[in-house]
Amino acid sequence: MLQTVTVSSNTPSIVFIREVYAESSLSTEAKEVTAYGYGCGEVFLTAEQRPTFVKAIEVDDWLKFQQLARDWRSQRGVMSSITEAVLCPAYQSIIGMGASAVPFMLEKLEEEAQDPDQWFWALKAVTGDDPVRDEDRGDFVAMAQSWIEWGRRQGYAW
Amino acid sequence: MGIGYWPHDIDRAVTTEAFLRAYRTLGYGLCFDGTLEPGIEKIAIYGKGPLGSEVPTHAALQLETGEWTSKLGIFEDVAHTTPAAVECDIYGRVICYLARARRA
Repeated sequence: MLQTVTVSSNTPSIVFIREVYAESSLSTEAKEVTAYGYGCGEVFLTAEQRPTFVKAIEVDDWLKFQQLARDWRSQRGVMSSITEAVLCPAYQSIIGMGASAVPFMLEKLEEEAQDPDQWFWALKAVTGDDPVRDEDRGDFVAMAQSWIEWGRRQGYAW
Repeated sequence: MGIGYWPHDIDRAVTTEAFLRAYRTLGYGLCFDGTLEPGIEKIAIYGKGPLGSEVPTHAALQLETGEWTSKLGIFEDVAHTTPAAVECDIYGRVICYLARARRA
């Protein structure tokens, strides 16, 4: 069953789509979200009003990640030391989510654009990979771009 | 974990010694205090822990005006009149000052 949700300025920040079937896909043309896929799914609108389709089995992970990300921001406060910041309980819990957190962190890196946060440590810890070139270390925007491109090459969708 | 920039040939360790060696590759050397000196750029290194084995936590940069500037974690940069103004439980205290010729 194809289900279409029209997004307007009055649309709540979270639009739920239940009992939708067929191949998953999204169209954001003309502010219209079309979501259809196998099984249930939910469309979340990001802060930039960009719809993100999340399969039902991932919804709990998505919500958990968002809460942990907020908790991490709160726990680290004004810490300057990345070494200290990544030891915060919330950040360690994000690492503990394992591979399910990877697309959410990649999405964060993309959203944060010119001021990416320190998701690099967790991404490396979880994936065991590090696509950042030596000459880009310390250039957080370039590091984020390397990880985003890596994610696309690995087939992650966010 | 080898995530961010760190100069080659310097131990990647969160110790005052490693930080001083790393800053040395950028032209900084130890100096006595944070007094404003024309043509000299100074930074204050903060650390926590027992005297002599502090763990670096933060750095502040002296502006040409004599004020200092700090980036407070993920938040905006702030200006402060003295290095001591941002000493706290999170950053600890100033453990040393470094200086190099101010660049244009």
